[in-house]
Amino acid sequence: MIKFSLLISGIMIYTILLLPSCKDKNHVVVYTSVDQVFSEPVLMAFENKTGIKVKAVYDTEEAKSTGVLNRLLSEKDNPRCDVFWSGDPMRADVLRQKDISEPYHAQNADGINSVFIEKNYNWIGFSSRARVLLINTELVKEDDVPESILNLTEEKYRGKVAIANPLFGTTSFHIAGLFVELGDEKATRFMNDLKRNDIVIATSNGDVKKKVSDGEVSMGLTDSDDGNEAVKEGLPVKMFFLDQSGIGNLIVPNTVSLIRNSPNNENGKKMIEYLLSSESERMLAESCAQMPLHKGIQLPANVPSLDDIKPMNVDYKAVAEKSEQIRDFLKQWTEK
Amino acid sequence: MTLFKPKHISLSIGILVTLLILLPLFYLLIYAIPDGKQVTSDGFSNIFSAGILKSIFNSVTISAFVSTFSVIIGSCFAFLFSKTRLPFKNLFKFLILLPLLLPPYIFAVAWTDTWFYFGLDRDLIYSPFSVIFIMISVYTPLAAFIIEGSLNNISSSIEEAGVTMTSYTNVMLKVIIPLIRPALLSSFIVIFVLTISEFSVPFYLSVNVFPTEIFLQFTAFYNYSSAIVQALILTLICLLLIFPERIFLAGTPFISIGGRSLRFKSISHKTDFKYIILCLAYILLFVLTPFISLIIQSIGKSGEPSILYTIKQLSPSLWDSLLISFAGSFVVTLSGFIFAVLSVRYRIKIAGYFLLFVFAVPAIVIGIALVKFYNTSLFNFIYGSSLIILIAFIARYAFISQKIFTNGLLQIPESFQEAAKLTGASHFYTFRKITMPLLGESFYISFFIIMIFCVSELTSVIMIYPPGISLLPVRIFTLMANAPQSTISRMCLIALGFSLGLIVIMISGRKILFSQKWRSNQ
Repeated sequence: MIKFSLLISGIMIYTILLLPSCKDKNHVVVYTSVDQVFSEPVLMAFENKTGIKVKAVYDTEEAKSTGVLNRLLSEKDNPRCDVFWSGDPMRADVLRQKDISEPYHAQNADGINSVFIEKNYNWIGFSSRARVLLINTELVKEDDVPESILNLTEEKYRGKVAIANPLFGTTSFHIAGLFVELGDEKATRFMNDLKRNDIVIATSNGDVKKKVSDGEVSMGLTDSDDGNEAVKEGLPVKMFFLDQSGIGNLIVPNTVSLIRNSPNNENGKKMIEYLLSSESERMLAESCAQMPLHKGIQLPANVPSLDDIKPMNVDYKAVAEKSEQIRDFLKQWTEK
Repeated sequence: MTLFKPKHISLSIGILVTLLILLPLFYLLIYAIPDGKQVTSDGFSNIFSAGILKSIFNSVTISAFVSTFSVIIGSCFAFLFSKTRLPFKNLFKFLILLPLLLPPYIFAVAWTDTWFYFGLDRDLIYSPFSVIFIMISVYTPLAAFIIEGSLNNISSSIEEAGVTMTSYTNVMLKVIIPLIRPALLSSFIVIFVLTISEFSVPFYLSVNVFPTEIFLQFTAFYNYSSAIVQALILTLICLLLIFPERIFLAGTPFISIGGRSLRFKSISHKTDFKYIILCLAYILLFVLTPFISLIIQSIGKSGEPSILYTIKQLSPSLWDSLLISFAGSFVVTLSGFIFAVLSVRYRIKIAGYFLLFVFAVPAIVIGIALVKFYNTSLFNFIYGSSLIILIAFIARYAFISQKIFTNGLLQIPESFQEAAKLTGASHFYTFRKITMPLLGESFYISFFIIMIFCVSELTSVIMIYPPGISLLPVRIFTLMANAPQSTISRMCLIALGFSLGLIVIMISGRKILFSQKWRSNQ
């Protein structure tokens, strides 16, 4: 027993002393909700290029970004994080509303369309995804693919369509986009019709991908990076952009925010410049088929250009604010 | 000198641990609820809505079923392991333990894939029945290990005396079951609380439970006030378990170690062939089926990343996880022991209730409380280091450890210590030479079970792990998103292999570190 206690005491002291996190002076702390499999290589490339040690806290949309966002909210009075890299503008705008982010006009933001930038530079968009309809090619013929998201309420799609829980992530952003574009009344009717048409609610966009590729449902609304992964895995699926002759397809940019009073503010600004650079956009295009917001970047064959897609023409800040307003409705909608 | 009496040392450590955990929770309560009006409007008024009442009903019903069946099945296994000459006993033990080594969420994914493969009805898969089935398979080994520890502590002299007078069935009903009542109830309470605060499995299977409501308030509405009020309700439901505990344990004959005939070599019953078949059937149905599903899924297609790539991805987190799990298991076991001593030996009952209260607080609330309280320049040495993770582990699991030690302590008659005192032995000598050896089994089981929990703890750790530290469950969880199915399954199997490696180390080290020569010399 004494031998055991001595052994474990030794391990414990070693653990406590040798695992403190802030030994390197020249470092930057990044919190990200972008899937680690894609974000880590970009952060490592920054570290290799600048010599600034990156200390990252990862989270995932599958976990509804519970970890990083609640951390950022909790750390407001004593911030530990320098840069927040979000998978969508909604979470970045929560930080703006709660006065946690700080405006920073990055030089590399100059080549990016102003529609993807918060007017005071509290967040800046870069590499984007799109919301897509993923179909199982063994269950659906291309002729039967709807042209508009509004067609999903038709009888022939009853019980065949999946959507991730609209209270979270890019799905909530998508639905908020529809509310902004269509107006509250029409969008509410559309959502209720979807529910009446027995739409299947998945836990996440990854779960939508899984349900479609497993044949549990015929089609589902998800993000283009999830769809792209399914295609890369050789699953029987195909992606479609909707409403190309109507309201357009929602584009969801990544965003980056500088945290107010962050401990490594200057290194944080360098990180933001790097994330907004063509180099990082190219890396994300190659790894997860994200569409660069800078013009003139060489794209892999599987990555569509934003020039070839008719985007939903929405004010991203308005969409982020709308998503707050419709939460109670969406909660009731999911519980029906 | 009086300051260094065991009671004072235990009290000091107990108070320190209490403050480390209680202060953040109080701080969160004060921070989240600035005025009573807001509580009424945000939290309590919603509690009586039909949706929330239904979710509370679902949670309680599911937890009651899971804990009841887990304890019944776990007791059967514990009896087979402890009281029979079951062939391949260690192999069976090892196999039933497997579901406990992975986060329940992964198990739910493996099960649903299997059920879909066999064409089970969708409505049945996404139902409370599936949640109950999965949770029983996860928590049965926990009940089996807690109850087996208690059975191993019963002196065979008592059984032998019973058998000379009546049938073994009667001895079981009239002697053994009453003696292991504390362990049965501990298992029930631990499993009930773990199930009622489990969020991931019901969420994955679209079953509306109370933790889902709390999670939504945090993640979709960022409404801390409402979430914390709801978390308090959940905690109160768990605290209600104290009353059945009092009734059920009233008059329990705790002394199971006979004074002069202290013998542990139990009566070993010949194992009927049908028990082996039942064990095999359980293992095939509850354990191997989902693991076979994971193994099949891990076979990747050409062009997908190799298994070496997967191992390379996870390797940065293995060392950190190993260290923190060991250290976590140690501090949790120590805390559990101290609190058990305080509540059993020194009759400070609030010590046990405090840990139950903390155990019942949802992991996400613990995480937020720790961040808010310790993220100051004064406590930077805690928040900026792995100490914060160790505190979270104590908050999450010290109750389980305390229950294990309570069972052990209740089975040691105070007359042993009194006898030592009469011979002039000091407190520490008595503790070292009598209490500790008799609690060897409890130390081992506590360390073993808590380490398993620490290795796979995700919900609270993802909230607090310091930047730069990489832990296995967090790394798997964050890498899982968007990885091919084969890679996800491989990562799960690697995590399983890692946990199994730790178990092998624990089992190998048991004889060296927990030497109980006096037991084998009987």
